[in-house]
Amino acid sequence: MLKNKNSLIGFIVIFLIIIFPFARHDSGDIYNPLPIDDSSIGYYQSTTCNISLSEVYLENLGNENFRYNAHNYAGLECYGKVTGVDKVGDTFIVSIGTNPSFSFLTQIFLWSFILFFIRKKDTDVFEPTNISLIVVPIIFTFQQISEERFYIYENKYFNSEFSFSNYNLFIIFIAIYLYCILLNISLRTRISNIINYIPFVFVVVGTFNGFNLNFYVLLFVILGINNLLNGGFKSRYNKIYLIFTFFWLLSPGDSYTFFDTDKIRGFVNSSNTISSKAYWILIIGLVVNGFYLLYVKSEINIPLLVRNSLLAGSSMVLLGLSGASSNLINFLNFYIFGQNKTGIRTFDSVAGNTWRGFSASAESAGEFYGFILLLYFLCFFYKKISFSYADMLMIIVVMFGLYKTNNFAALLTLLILTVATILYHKFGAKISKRNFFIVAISFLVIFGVFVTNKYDYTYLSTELLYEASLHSNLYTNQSNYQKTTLITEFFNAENLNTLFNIDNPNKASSSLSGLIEIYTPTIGIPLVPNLVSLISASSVLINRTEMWGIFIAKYSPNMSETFFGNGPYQLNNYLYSHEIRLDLPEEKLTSLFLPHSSVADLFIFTGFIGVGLIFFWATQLLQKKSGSNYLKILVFFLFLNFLKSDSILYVSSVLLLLLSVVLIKENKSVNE
Amino acid sequence: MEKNLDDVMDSCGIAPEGISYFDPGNDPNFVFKKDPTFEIVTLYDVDGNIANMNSWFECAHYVNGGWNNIQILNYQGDKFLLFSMLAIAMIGSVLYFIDIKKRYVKK
Repeated sequence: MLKNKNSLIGFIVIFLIIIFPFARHDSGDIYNPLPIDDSSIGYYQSTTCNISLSEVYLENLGNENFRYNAHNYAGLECYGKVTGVDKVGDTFIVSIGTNPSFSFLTQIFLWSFILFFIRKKDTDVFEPTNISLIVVPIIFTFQQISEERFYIYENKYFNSEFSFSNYNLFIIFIAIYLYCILLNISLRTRISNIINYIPFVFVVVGTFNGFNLNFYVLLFVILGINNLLNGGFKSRYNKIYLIFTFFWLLSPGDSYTFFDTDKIRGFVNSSNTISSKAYWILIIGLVVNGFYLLYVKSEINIPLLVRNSLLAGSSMVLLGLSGASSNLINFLNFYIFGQNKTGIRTFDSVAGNTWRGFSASAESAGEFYGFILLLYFLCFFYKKISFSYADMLMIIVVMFGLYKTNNFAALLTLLILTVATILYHKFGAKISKRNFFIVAISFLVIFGVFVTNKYDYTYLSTELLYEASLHSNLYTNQSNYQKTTLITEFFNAENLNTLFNIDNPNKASSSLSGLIEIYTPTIGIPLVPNLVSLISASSVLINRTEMWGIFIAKYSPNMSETFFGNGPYQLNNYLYSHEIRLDLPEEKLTSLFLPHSSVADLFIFTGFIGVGLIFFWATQLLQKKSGSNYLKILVFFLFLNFLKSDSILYVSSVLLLLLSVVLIKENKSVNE
Repeated sequence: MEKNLDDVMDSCGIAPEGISYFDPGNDPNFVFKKDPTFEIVTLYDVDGNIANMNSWFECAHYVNGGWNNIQILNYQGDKFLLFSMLAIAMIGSVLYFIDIKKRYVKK
């Protein structure tokens, strides 16, 4: 793996530069670290920027009653040093200066050198354009201005003025320029092999500290520019994207709303201004072009990919557990791997567990572990890889990871698809397609009868609308309890017209109003289930009623947004444009409520037309015959899980989806 | 600690008779008493914050906490970073384009 000595040296140098400020110790200085307790808070508050992280750590060896917190709004002089200590509850929070400008430099170079560890070809397989050296830094420097409100709170050196004394903007420009150089060098001989290392995006998360930017977004933007300059402009996708762009820019919404990006930092628009929208439209357009270029250039090496997947999965589990057991590793995990948030310091599989910071959600981590296990099974079952004891060890670690994510859906789909693969392999040749469909539909009918016997049909078909109503701003003068009672009465009496049109006109979101209209049609077609009833029943069965109910209550698109969406990775209108009153415990009211379905996310971004086009393209892709038909199950596995998770919002999960799509293309067979 | 005393003396002057420094710790009720005989001293921290000291004891406490009577006007970390980056970028660009030229000539 480490064939390139220069890359290794570069990596070590950058790694040391990262670690040095945190490890600095001056034996001659007067500021000695003290044990962290109630009596030393004042001392640390008045000796800011003098004591380094390592000094505090060594002084407090064995004391795990505190955690480190990255303090971005500190100058370069405080980098790697304690900028304050606070007590929250029983835990002490030690803030460490991590100025974003310097963090950006160190992280971008560290991760760039990691790219050089990808196996290279002996000759150049790609000629990257040098135009990206100028265009890419301009685009990403522009982001600082377009998302001013995000950056102003993050970086002491931030200044939105265009002037020669605005050093911060120049630093970012030059850092990205250097990154483009490094990437161009790397891409020449490695572009076809990148895909085999995609699983590692779950370890090196790549979100820049204090930035709303992800390393992989940068990478794919560069690839996207290369694709455009190689004739990509004329593609059907880009023409359709231009039409969507027109509608997205036409519907600007409330430009004052601001989303602090929370756990999806790096891959979501924080602002609703025109410039910010334009930036994200451009970025995502280029990223998709980059995906296409990688799709075309990739050469899958199954044994290498499987080994990398197992390595990445088990590393994620082990590093995550180490982070949960040590406050120092927890902080270093956050900083070195570019996590969106520091990992949760508990070993329990609890709700909201973000898999120790390596994944924005436990669901996406579960999907990743499930994907690895399914990939290994398929490749082993179809004799593409051979057995090894080292693999077995890593599989056990990954299985433990899947268990700890508490992702029942991923586990269930993994089991069902594994059994289905075995059965298909055994009986596939003997059963005709027609018989297969008859059996499948019979199963569905039996399952439907079983479900409707267990639950009341009216309950199943209206539960989602009921839940959405509970979270809507109905009966504004009544308490939440009274509101619930009234809504329940109207639902029991099946009198939705009075509830929404007479008692609470214009209070429900346009989504909820639309679904009520579909639920109460003027003409009913016999034996065809109502669409809303079907979605509602599904939401009950997969435990998504509350989350989807909140989504329906919150999202109130206008006509243009219904058909074309709000723009790529734009959640501002969804989060803030419609007034709601959540029927939840007090402590949960300020939480971030994402739609909990990637289809709903896509609907917010691209509207009905976008979702339709994506499904049409996906169907076409799955129908294509290829030599790796058996791997289509991986796409199906992700698709099923994405239906009930927000994974499309996470860079790593999107790249996993890309990997699964590349796996089913007509690949050249590359072996070890 | 000797260096510490020197710093305190540089910024706050000699300790008045009968007063010596001790760490007040994290006592929220601790109040720095104003010394009418003490000539007010202005101290600065690394962020450019300013504080006026009303007693030698208060002054000594702040100096121990990293404050100083010398105002460092905007320690320009970003300026330092920029010039370092410019130097790296120039060297990097030259090497990159020389390499491209070599490859082009080879072809």
